[in-house]
Amino acid sequence: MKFIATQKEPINLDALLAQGESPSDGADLVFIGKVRDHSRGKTVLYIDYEIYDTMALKELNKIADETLEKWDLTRVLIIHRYGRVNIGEPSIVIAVSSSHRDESYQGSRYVIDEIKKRVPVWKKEFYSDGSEWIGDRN
Amino acid sequence: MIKIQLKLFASMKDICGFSEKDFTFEKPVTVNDLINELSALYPAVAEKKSTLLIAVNENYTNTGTVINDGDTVAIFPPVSGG
Repeated sequence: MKFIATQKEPINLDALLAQGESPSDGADLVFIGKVRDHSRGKTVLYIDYEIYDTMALKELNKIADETLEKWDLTRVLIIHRYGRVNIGEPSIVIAVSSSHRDESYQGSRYVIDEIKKRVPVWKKEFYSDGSEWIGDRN
Repeated sequence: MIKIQLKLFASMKDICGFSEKDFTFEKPVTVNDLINELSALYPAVAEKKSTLLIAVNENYTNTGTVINDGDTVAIFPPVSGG
């Protein structure tokens, strides 16, 4: 099964992990992407995420479907936040489950790598002396 | 007459000063034509042209795509989520 969401509110990890739990699972692998306080030599105060929400949901669903097709996983859960996310807060949580751990490690890696390439979300980092869109310069 | 909706995000929104606008054309145009039109109005768009990503009706496509009446075209810089 899959569960996909985008939201402005902080992510409730326990509620997410309760989705589609299965007694056949031997591995739950959770990746939490957080906002860190530094970026390319600058001190970051917070990040504001802009999202093309309807398309982002479509792409996240496609990525989850591809992942379920490629690896023997029982579930793929993805929540991506948008709007202001403070230092230390999760901006994304990816949880995958499988009978054996190897499938989960590979599937989880695929999900985050594809999100970085395809899901229409943009970070704007805020510093004490200004702000900058990330991804624009390369 | 072809009427389309253009959506811009992130730095493209900042450069052009809007996030959503309707455009009308007398004859069929490609995404490339649309970007050239934006570049003429906002020169900073031209500098970004080679890195821009395009989606028509929420599906990724390329600049050669012909835009049809009623399409929603989104133009944005490389994504940086996660």
